[in-house]
Amino acid sequence: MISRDEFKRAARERTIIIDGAYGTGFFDMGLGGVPSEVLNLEHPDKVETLHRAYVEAGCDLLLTNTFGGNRFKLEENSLEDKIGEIHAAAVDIARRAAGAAPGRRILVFGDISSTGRLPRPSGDGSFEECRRVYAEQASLLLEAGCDGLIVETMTDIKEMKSALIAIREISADVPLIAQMSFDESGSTLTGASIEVFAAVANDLEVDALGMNCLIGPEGMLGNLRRLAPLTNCLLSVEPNAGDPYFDGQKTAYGIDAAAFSLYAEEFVEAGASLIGGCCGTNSDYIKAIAAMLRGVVPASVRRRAVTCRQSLASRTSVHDIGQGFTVIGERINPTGKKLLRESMRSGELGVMLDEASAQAREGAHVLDVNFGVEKFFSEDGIRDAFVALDRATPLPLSIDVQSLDFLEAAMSEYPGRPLVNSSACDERSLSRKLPLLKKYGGIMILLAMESEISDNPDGRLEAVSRAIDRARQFGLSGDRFVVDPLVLSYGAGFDHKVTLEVIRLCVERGIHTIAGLSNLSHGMPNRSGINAAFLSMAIDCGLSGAIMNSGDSVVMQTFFGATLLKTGKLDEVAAGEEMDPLVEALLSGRSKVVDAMVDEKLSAGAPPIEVSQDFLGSAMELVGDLYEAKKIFLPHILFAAETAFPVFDRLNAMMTGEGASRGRVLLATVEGDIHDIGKNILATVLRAGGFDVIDIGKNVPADKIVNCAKEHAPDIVGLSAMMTTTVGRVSEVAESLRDAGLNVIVISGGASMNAELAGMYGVGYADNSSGALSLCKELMGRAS
Amino acid sequence: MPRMRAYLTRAGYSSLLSAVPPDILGVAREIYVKALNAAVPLAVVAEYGSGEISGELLPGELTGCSNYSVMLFSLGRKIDDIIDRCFADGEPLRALLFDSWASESVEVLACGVDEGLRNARGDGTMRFAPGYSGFDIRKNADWLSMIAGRASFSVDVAVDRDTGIITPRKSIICMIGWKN
Repeated sequence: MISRDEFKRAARERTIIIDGAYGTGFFDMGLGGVPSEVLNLEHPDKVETLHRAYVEAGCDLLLTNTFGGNRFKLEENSLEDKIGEIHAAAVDIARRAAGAAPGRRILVFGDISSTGRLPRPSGDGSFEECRRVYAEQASLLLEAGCDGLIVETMTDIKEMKSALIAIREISADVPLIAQMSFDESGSTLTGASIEVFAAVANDLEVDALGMNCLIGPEGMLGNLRRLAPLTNCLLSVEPNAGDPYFDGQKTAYGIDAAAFSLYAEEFVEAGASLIGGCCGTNSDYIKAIAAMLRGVVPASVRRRAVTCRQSLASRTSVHDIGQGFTVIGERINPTGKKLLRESMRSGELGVMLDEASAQAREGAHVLDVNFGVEKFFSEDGIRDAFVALDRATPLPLSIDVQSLDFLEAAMSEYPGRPLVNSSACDERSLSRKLPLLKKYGGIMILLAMESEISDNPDGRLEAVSRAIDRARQFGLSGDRFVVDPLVLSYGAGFDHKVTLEVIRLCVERGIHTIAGLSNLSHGMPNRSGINAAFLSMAIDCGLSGAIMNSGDSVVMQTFFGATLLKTGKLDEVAAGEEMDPLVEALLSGRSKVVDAMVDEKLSAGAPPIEVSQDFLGSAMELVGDLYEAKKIFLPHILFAAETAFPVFDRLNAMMTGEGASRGRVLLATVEGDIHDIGKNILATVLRAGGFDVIDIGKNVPADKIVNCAKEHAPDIVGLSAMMTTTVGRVSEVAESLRDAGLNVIVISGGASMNAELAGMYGVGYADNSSGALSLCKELMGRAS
Repeated sequence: MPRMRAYLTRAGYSSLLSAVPPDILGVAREIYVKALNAAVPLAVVAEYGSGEISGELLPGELTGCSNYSVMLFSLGRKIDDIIDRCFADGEPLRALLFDSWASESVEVLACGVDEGLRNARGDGTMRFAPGYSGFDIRKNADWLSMIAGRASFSVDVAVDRDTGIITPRKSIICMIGWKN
């Protein structure tokens, strides 16, 4: 293993060229039918040949052939018993190839990617399971002698977080690259934006941050330019060789080696210190990049340090503290609220989710989550609440949890970069909470007090300064903190002017402040007026944000007015969009509300089929439209579908005969392909859209699909193929179905499919689940 | 292959690629690939001893060397044709970009061979071409004859004896003198 400093020094000496694709390389060698990782044991010579081709092409960093080598992936092929051998062999092979270039130092990085079982709510896995699986794989790779590790092609920010945390638990010293797969709009499949990724990964001791797969160099260049100002980590890119297409004989990619390499200088200019290739690239591409970058000054030499924003992040969005005033909704707090308390304690979280939605509509930027008396909760209950909020709201959360165990559970379950509310500045409090902040990331609120609250501003500021010094010694920079200047009860005789002065002193030192506003008026009449008056004064002093009641119009109007007068800028309350009530209920998982709305329609005399298709079905279509427009992401659409299922079932049970279902769809991922997330999503969306779905799984041979089609007599067969090496199977299955004399419509999808290819195969095509639902409806309409 | 930055700087754009308008970058990349496919790079190195070149054929800067490499680099005629066609078709931007790419490419080709020779042979003079430092550009014709005379294949490059102009246009004739 090399040190993290050595790795960074290497990036200053030259742009580090990473290798290219392996899957397509193995396929070209005629080894496409087996999991790539098995080749480390069965055909080590072939793996070494591919590695050597990249070394000869000029690559500086080889990835081990362990992309799908984690325990969960190996279990899919009953290979988990060989996990140790596979990783030892993979590193050994890469090392041999790296040693075949005398006079050059070729780094070997252990390659890690998705487990395929995304943690809740994107999938049904858990954060802890993922963390264990990644810890095992990272340990095996490091024991076998890798120089560093790369976590790549990740689509889910929570899974990425679990991998990075697991790796840093094993080794604080290993050089670590983290890469996610973004589309042209800069979002991953489960909705993490580039800004979210940077906000989360910056805290987790990553050495290089970057992106790979999914798109070609043009789109990736734009995404890289978005990432560069958000991090001081090295930047890495590995684009695909353009979009896949069918050249008449095999799947090819749109951009050849020469054209691909033309982006290399632009990547360096945009800040990339590591450049390689992903799907569709081979040693020619790497050779062309290496040639193009010979003599080019590395980005690490030219790049200037950036001041990272104090960004809070949810799974899908960020909010920057200090960019306008931050309204932190305070109402997810069961103290004194019976209904909410019962809801949160029982685990039926509808009331809590209602509060979340309401505060978002009112214009809160962040939601504080407090459980009141925590002894009534279990760790699982805390986790469930954060998973539910992750699904239901795009707003970043403030974790207002006091028990250390529960705080750790919440911080590990939270996918983004939370606000951690809070720690006092005394050594004991800090020694308990700083390790969690360092491990899981986030921005912490420092209460401007040690064991006692000083009654003068300087005393409070000194406490803060000592705390920030302690944190620095612990490896946490000052920008990981904001300060609560302590708003105390006016009625109890505390002087609010001390608080205002603390705010002023913090502003002078460039420290952002967040205050708990409502404490001020505790026990007083006309609380809104008092809170609003103080808020106006505090904003004038430079207060950055407040934990407050976003439903209090007096306070919210005052925030608006005070911000305008202070800054001269309109910082209008960004109230959430009005949404169809049924859609909102589906998206927030309030099944009782959905049931009630459906019952109301039925009571009014609407036939079940009409309620199913025109009411509930239409609402699910709107959910699909929101997904298409990237206003919601995968976890949200799945959650809505899960909420809708039982209601569809109930309505179906009321119907008899024809019309109960829109049609029957048989789904399968073709033989040789073990990717099924997309297919599973489609199954969910189709069921929620009123279709009867028979899902026969992944890696399904053509003859089995034919037999199932005979048995179930579907109207439509939907085939998924993710790999360029498996798309041909779609044609094979379609032909087999025709040969068997089955009059069935075949549709297809998956990353490597496209309309042109589908046309050649004589099958239908949709590029996402929402499109597939529309296609199925259209086809069924035509069929009838 | 020339660098994008060098090629576009030669065409008059900023040396910062991010400052080049994206539309132009798109066209520039397209032309890069087309030009790369159209070019037929040729490099010929003819070796001469000190006694074999003298008098008017040897520039003053290169005298006193023990031997000489007389070299020809060319990208072939197709690139010239494309540039001419672009102008004829009313596409001067494309013509300019093809021209810039080709000028930079033939220089990159020459630099690559130059570097290889120096690595192998050690101390040498600057790479010298007729037209520089008062050395008559029309000597291109004589040097081309020297090169063609040693080549084991026919060389599709010509020099107008009256003007010294080489065709194809994207060609270089030059010489390095070696000290040892």
